[in-house]
Amino acid sequence: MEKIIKIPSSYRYYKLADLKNICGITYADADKMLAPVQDIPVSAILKTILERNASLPMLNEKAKSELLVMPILTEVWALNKNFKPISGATFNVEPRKGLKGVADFLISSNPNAREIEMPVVAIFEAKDDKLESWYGQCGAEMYAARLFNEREDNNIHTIHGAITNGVAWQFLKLEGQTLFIDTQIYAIANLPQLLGAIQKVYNFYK
Amino acid sequence: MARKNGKPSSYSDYTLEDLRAILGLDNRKENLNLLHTLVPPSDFLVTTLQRNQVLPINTEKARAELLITPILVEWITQNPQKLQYLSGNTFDVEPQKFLKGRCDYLFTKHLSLDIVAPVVAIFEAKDDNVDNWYGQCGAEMYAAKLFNEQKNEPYPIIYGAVTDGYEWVFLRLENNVLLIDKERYYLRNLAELLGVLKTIMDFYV
Repeated sequence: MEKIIKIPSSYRYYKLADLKNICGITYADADKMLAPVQDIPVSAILKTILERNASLPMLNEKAKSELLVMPILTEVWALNKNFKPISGATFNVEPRKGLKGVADFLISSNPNAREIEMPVVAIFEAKDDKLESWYGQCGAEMYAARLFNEREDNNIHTIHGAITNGVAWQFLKLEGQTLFIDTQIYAIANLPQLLGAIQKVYNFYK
Repeated sequence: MARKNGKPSSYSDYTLEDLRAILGLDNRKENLNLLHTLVPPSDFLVTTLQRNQVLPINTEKARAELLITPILVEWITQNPQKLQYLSGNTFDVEPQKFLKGRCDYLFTKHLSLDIVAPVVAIFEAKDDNVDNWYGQCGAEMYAAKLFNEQKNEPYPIIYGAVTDGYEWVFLRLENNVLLIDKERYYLRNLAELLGVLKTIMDFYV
C-alpha cells in the first residue's frame, strides 16, 4: 500500500519529517559549520539602535524582527551592498508541495533586487520561541530557494539559512540532499562574532 | 483572515461601514490641529532612515521594520517613562463583536510588558493606500476605549494613525465619532511628524 503523505499547507507547517518525505532532504549536525569566523566591529549606529531598543518590550516575533533582527541585517548589508535583505515577501515556489508562504528575511545576491530576485542565497526566519521547532520551516524555504534558482539555470545550489529568536542565531546549510544544522549557536551577546558569522555566509557567494 | 457572512472576522477586515453597523460609530474628517511645535529628528534617526530607504521596502513588514519602527522608537525613548511601546501584541477585547486580532503598535500609560489600561493610542502599518484602513484602525481604537472602560480606567480620547511608512494620517476617537485628520504628515518632513507625535504624548502625560 502506498504511504499517504500529508502536504503541509505552507512553509510554516513544515517539519523535518515533511522535508524528508516530500523533498527527500535529510538532516545532519555540522560541528562548527561556519568556523573560523572573523569578528566584525560593531558600528556606532548599530550600537545606538540596540541600546535604544533594549529598553522596549520584545515579546513576540514582530517586535523582535523590528528591534533586533532587521537592524543586524541592515548592518551587514551596509558592508555587503549586494546582499539585500528582502523582508516579508511572499515566496510561492511549488504550492502543490506546500512550498509557499512568506519568508521572513530572504537574501538575494542580486544587487538590483527590489523584490525577490535570483539568486536567493539565504533565508533567515525570526521566531519568538525555541529555535529547534523551526528547522523544518527554514529548511523548506531553503529547499524552495534552490528550486527557484534552478528554474533559472542558476548554478547556486548551496543555500544558507538561520533561525533566530532575536537573541540567539542558529545557522543551517542545504547542500545536496542534506540540511546541515550548525551545532554552534551565535548570540547577540557576542555581536562582533554574530556579524562575522553572517558575513561568512555572504562570503560563500562572493 | 476573511469576512464571514458579511461580517469581519477580526480587526483587519473592519470597514467604516462595519464601525457604524456593529459599533454605532460615526466618522468624519476634521482638522485635528495636531502640529504645535516642530521636533527636529536626531542625526541618528536621519542617518538610519536614509540608509534603510535604500533597501527593498514593498511589504508591510519591511515598512514597519525600516521606516516606522525607527521613528516610533525615537519618539518613545527620547521621552522615557511616559508611554509604553508594544509592537505586535494580540489584543482580544470583545470577540463577539469581532474586536480581536493583533495591533501593529499599541501604546499604554502603564509601563508593564503586558497590556494594562489605559491604552491611549494604536497605530497601524500598511503597504498600500492608507485611506483603506481607517476601519481597521478605528475598530482597534474603539476596542481600546472598551478595554479601558472594562478595567475602570475610562479615557475620553483615543488616538490612532494609519501609515504606509511615507504618509501618516492621524485619527481621534471621541464621543463615539472617529475623526480623521484633514492634514497629512510625511516621512520627508520628520520635524512635523515628530511634532505631531509629541502633541499626542503631551496630551496624555
